[in-house]
Amino acid sequence: MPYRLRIGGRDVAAEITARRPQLLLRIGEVRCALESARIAGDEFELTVDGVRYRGYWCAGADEVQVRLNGHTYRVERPRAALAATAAAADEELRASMPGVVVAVHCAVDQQLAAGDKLLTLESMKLQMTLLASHAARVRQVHVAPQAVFERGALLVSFARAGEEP
Amino acid sequence: MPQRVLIANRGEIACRILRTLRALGIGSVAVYTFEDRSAPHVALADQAVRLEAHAPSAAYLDQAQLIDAARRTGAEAIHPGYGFLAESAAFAERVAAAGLTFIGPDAAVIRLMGDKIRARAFAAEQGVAVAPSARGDGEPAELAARAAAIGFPLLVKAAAGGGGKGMRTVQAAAELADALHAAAEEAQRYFGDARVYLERRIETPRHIEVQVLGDGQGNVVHLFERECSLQRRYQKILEESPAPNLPADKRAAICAAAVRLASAARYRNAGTVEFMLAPGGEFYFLEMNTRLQVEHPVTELVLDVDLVAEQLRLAGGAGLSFAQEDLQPRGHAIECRICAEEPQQDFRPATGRVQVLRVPQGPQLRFDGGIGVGQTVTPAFDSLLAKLIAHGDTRGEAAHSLERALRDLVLLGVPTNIDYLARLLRHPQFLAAELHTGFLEAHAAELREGGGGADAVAAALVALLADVDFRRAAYEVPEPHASIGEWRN
Repeated sequence: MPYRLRIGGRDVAAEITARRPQLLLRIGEVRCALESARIAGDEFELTVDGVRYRGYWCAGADEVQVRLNGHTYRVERPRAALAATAAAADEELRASMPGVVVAVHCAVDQQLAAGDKLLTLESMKLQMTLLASHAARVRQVHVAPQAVFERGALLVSFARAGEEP
Repeated sequence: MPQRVLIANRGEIACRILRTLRALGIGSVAVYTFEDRSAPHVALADQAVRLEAHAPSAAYLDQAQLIDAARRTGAEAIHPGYGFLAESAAFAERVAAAGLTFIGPDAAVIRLMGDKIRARAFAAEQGVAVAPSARGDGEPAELAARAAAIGFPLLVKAAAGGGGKGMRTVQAAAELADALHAAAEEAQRYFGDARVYLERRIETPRHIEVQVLGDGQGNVVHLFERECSLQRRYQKILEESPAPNLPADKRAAICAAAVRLASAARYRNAGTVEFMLAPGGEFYFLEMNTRLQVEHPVTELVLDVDLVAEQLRLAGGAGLSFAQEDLQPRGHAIECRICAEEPQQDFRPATGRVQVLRVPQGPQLRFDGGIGVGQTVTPAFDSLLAKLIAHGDTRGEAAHSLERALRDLVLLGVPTNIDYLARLLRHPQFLAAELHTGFLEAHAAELREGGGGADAVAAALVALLADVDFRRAAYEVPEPHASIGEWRN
């Protein structure tokens, strides 16, 4: 079964091609042999094609972070990459990070044109104003000014094209 | 000197102040919110008082609770650190009225320097150059005439401003009205003060600042300059001392201007006078920060001083502990700010939980941190996690050891700018000291993350091995008996 990974913003397919006599894999365009793997706590040591790699790692909800040779690699887990389906994303605006609502610029039933202001949010002293990516009608505004929200929280939902008010 | 000091702050600066208090045998009181209960500054302090508030950042701004906490614990002085209430004249006044010592300048000086319009006028009176500027209020025709006199492009700035808030660049006359409106609105929101002014925009300037210490009687020494030109979103991310390629006469003139200003203000305690240095060599007063700066460690390393200890002495009424001629910089120091952010996405702040932390050690290396494993990085506070500072005989040496230390630093669980900073320290134009405040934007393409190669494949393998389904498929051993080597996840 192939695995889908996302590393450095690029989708990479990974596949086990043989288990015996040693574990062979294809990762993107690269074929390699994983000769040994030792993971103890937050440290790891792998031998791949005769080369030893030693570093640190941790796993979060969405991604695995790997520190190797002075560089941090963030490998998104396949589940996370598929979490937001295109259809849902079209109809909902969700928070990409936690923060607080500074201002609400849209109202229920408002017909928006692409580029219209939706919300001004603030996270870590940084303010950003979110704009409508395309024409849509506001179904509901789920937050009010000063509201604190978590990552993934539903902020604004939109009516489907053609849906009656 | 006070016997016990309350630190009205958190994070790395609270830990930094605690270190000096401990070294001097002074008792320490930390304050914290429920969310910060396991933070290092709480553990490091002799005593800790929990603050109550509806939002975490509001707690550290609650003047009454902070003064009450000092009273309850017998602290005689309050160190505000930077940010939060450090430049609040009202807080300085309230602390003094409560019979406590505010470790910083007098409220009147904080108020003077906090109002950029008044501070600029004060600087000009002392013969310190300010960039051509004009008031930002009045009739449209008047404003247009003033703007034209300054010339385009120009900046609209907030009188109460800082950190780039309430600031707009205006390229042409047609943009003026919108920029004034937007800047005033932002200034009102951030500072509760909508006053703005117009200032000539200096192209590709350097940001040079001078550390000063004053005794409140007009005696002031400078502790030389810091180069702080590398900024993103108007916030510094890498600072150094001395400023590279600064001619000796220019250095002397800038430092003398800073001393003149601070002396005229009868400045007490530590402060920083910021200047813009134009490519032609003219320099202009920007503002004075009436507090300890984030980047103070580079000054400490090149001069072998402890600025927090000096602050405590001066707040206690002691005179300056050194004369100007006692101060001789040695070598070069560079600091970089380690922030929870995503450099690839326009430095967007990031959140997470610190899961792995390994700090490099070295004789010429300093790590000013305020985070621990298990701690959550929330959007409630500034994204600064820690500072890494290296000292060397030369700038090249300091840059090299800082870059090496960044590569050795392991901080996982929250996205950071560590790798970006390492790339910056390797950049040829950085090493050649061709610095200006637009550097990071001008070199954005070269500073972008490169491809992965064999290491990226190894990283992908680690991610796969972290997955139970993959381990099962790879080794055909059912969980929980899966075993690959010494797998002990």
